[in-house]
Amino acid sequence: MHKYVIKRLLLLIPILLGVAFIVFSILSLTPGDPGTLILGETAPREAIEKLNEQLGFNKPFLVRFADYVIGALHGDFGTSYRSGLPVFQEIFARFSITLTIAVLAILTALFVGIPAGILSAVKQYSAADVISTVAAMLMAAIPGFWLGLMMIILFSLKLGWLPSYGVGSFAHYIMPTLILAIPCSAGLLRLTRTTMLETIRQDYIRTARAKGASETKVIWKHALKNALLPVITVAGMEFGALLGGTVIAEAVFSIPGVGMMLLTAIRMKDVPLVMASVIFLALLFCFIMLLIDLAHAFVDPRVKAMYSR
Amino acid sequence: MNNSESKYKKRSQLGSIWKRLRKNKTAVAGLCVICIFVLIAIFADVIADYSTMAIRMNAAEALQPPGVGHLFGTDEYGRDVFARVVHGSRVSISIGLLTVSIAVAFGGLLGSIAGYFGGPVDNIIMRIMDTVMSIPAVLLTLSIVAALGPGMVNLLWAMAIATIPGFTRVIRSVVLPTVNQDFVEAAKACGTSNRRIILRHIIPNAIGPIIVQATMAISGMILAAAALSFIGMGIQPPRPEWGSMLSSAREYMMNSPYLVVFPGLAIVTVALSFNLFGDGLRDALDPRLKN
Amino acid sequence: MGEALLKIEDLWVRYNTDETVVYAVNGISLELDKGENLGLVGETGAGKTTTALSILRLLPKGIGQVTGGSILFEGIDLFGLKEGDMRNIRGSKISMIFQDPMTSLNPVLTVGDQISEVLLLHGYTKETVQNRVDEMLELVGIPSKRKAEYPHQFSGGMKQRIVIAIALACSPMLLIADEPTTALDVTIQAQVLEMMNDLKQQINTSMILITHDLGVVAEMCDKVAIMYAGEIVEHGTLEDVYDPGREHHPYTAGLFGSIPDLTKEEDRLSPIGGLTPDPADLPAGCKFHPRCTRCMDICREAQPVDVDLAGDAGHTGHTGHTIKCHLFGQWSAQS
Repeated sequence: MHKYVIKRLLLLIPILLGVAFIVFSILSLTPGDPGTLILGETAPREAIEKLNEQLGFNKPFLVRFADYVIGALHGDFGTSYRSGLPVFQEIFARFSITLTIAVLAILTALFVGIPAGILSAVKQYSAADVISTVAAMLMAAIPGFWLGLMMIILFSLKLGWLPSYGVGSFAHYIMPTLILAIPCSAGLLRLTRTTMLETIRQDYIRTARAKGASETKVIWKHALKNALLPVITVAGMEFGALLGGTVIAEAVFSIPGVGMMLLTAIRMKDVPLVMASVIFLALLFCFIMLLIDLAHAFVDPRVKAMYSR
Repeated sequence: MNNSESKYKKRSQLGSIWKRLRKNKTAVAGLCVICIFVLIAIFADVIADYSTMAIRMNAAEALQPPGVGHLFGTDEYGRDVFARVVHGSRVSISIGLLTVSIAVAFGGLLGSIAGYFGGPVDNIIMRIMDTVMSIPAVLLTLSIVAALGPGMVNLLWAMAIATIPGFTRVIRSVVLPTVNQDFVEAAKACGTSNRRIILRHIIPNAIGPIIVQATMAISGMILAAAALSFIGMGIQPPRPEWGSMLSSAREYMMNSPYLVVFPGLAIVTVALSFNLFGDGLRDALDPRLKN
Repeated sequence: MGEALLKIEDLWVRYNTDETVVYAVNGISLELDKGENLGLVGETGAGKTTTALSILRLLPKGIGQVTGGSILFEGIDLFGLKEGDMRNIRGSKISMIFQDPMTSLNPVLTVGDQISEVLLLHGYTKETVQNRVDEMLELVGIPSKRKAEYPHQFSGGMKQRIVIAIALACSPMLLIADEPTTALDVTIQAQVLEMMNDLKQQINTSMILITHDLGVVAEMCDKVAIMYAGEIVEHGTLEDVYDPGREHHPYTAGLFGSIPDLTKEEDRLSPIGGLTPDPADLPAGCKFHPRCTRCMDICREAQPVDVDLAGDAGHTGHTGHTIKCHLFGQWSAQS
């Protein structure tokens, strides 16, 4: 088990290097140069050239990448071209907002999607099943940003119940959380329903029934653990995607989170800030996936045996 | 039992899938709506002229509510919202279909190579895919769009690239079980080339789940393209696109909510139709869970 | 002879799917006394497992449907019981061993938990249950210290022993074994069967053994019922059915004809031609007629009835030697 964890942690090195390389290549294709960005369009040509020289912008691509990696390994991820602040200071100043929204969204999705999915599978073809599958279909087809706009019209402009932009109180988080949680819970509902339907057709469920176990016990003790394994994995991936994908919700509700910061940074070609953010998010994603795999091993002895080899 | 099985096999497999699909009312409804939207996209110019109705500004007719002259009203520049929604279908549907086609083509190739050869080839391909997948898809797409510049073709490629790893994974997982089956062994024993085995034996056997996955992904792509246009990183004005229409409608939505309603409904309808159809297709291809 | 332990009367079961209606069991009647072993023999799809699941009322929900007949267990009509009362019978008075030990055990629970579950459901307390789990494991030949292990750590034969331990843990009065050894290696098969027989005798359980292996039936059973397309085509004591000197249903004859007989010198086996009919589209008349070598005109039109050949003395009704075939119609007017 320890060996497996160490192996996975070691695997992080090539993955993060790869992520850095991919993003660095894409950014270097983006038009623009740091000198102009920092000093502005109107700055004298020579000053811009000098700054570009200083920042190593004129060196060949691979040398620049190597410089970046070496710097990063020494803990120097650079400063934002735009604000001049160390990149992680910028990121962490905004990350708590994004993290709050993502955590609230995934929790909402889990609490709605999984129970509804179980109910839907256990009572297949019942009214509850039909309603929840139809609702899930619809929820998966609604664009979050449109739903956000509609909610602003209703809850902010017409009813005046919820603030339509910014952060602050808990009320500010309700609508952003909902528009991220709704498609996510739709996905989890459908997945839970499918895996649950598959599980309750297994022979060991029949064995449990033949023992005289009640339907409740069959579902909770025998089916649930097996059925939820794939659901946990997908929920983890969704959470990882949410951390990096709150940009739309942030744009709709004008929330100063990591997403909006990155959108601006990508547009402005603020290389150090984008690089550090993406590496940070990728690292988080890998950690989440590792935790999920360990959770798998905890629940399923077969997986544990596989990892222990 | 066996007797009937052989009888059923003789009837074409496609026929029986179609028969099961036809029974599924929601899937048929989805397919019909998709067809309607495809027709609208093809005949958009016949329904509403592009240059005079969809993009020409006319300050005198700005922000008129839905009515006889303008079915869905007009926007802040006096452009007909109905015409813009109609022309927007071209962008959305072609983006949906094309991105998924690109992703399936590349993902299918990479996935079947990885699944078929296994070993180090598999390892290298899948590690690269893992790496790409650990970059949040939205950020990857945004960066690529920023690098390539906005525009429909660039948006298309950016979204496809971010989708390829997912398809590679799915296709590898459906290819893997077929690789060890007897007919593949038999083909190898006959000296069939690897290329031919992949194209003629492995991919046809994995095609069902791939089609289902692809159909379901189309709606996701349409939603993503609209979202990117909404934040200004996709289709650029004045070209009508549902997401960017919503974006510019934001400022006027208090007094002219119809500006937000119609493009949004168009997105929901198309996305829902693809989902319903994909869902029905999956049930028809794999009826195991139905009973 | 007192009340039979199990009495199935004119049982009809069908499966309703989206596309077709499958007629799985078509009017079968059986009786089983205490301590008796009945072999239920037939090809795949003959309705053997459906019969077994009907006894436990575990037909797949929403699809499997009993459309007629009754099952009496100790004189109680099982179809009339409330679900809760039925649950009290499952696992304690009637238990079942399923065909595939590989998939019959829950992969995420220890084998000890899976054995103790059935005991806790039927009267054991937390204090007494562990002793019984140990005892059952030792009985089926597995060291009790392995109870904390998970199913994937056991071989197929071991898993089937665990399934048997679960089935016998509450000393049931009726054990239904659905092809208990089909999924196992031949060498393990004999061991498992022998062990089942021993344990069964210790607790005086009756058994319905579902199999397509006539050899296994000969070793384990007192009575035999041959099933074909959801009907019992021949029923009698082991001697009635196995004695080549007596009259048999052409299907039974065919089954025996497809087993090599070491005492006779034969060049080739004589298997039954054709395949079992599609249960969604059964032939008219006698369901076996398309494959029957002795098919007559009447067989294509009229359904045959059970004919009692009054086999071994002392048996009456369905416990006698009965054959469902027009060939024997002229011998008896009984329906």
